[in-house]
Amino acid sequence: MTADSTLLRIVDEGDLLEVRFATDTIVDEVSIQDIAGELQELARGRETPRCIINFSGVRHFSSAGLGMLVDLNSTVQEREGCMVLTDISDTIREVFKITKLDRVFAIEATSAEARSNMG
Amino acid sequence: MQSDPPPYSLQESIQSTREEIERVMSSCLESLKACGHDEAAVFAIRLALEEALSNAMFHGNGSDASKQITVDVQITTDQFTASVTDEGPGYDPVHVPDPTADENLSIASGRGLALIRSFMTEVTLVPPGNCIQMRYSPGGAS
Repeated sequence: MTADSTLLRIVDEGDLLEVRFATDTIVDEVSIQDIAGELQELARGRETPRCIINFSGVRHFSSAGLGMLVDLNSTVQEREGCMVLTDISDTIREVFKITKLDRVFAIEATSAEARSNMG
Repeated sequence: MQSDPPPYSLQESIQSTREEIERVMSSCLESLKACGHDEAAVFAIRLALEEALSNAMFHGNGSDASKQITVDVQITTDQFTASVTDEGPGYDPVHVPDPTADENLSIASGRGLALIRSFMTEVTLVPPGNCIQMRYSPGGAS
């Protein structure tokens, strides 16, 4: 099932969620709070959430966006689920590296690889 | 022979709103490209300026649209400098936990200043901490 909000494109396959962002720039605090709310609701609605956050097309991602992902990852971990970030551009990847969040998040090159490794 | 584009200068006090921040960002980005800054420079400057303005709006001015952010941006073909000042009380960065320390990686906030420092050549937080000054020179990022 596919569900689109103004901010996210969500493919819900029951046991696996794949989320893409609807814009290339994720910096606006209010939008990030809205995205966080949506994703938290999705994660909390599942006993063992498995999700892919696909960064295809994202060119700008702020520290507030990073914070949103940190919180989401905590929610997923509390439920013994898994969350993988994929398709991150080299420049955004550098942001994850500088903040050492590449040590916190599971990151794969593509969503196909993530799906394969999730089983 | 083509002459260098004229230097860009913006000195304004803006309301603490997303719309005003985007207006300033858009103007600066246009000028960066007109001055011939490459993609890496544009990315770095965009990130740092966006973080500084967002911090000013969100943390400094408490998202109060009536409070002002004073912005001073200068762009030439070989340098970017900016100063962003909010109306808040400021803060001492010594009291901001290092977001890259292992024990702080799971904290949601506090990465904006670290990112600015990583992408800019020089950063100064002017006491009492409600004004940040930054400079970017290509090839000189710290």
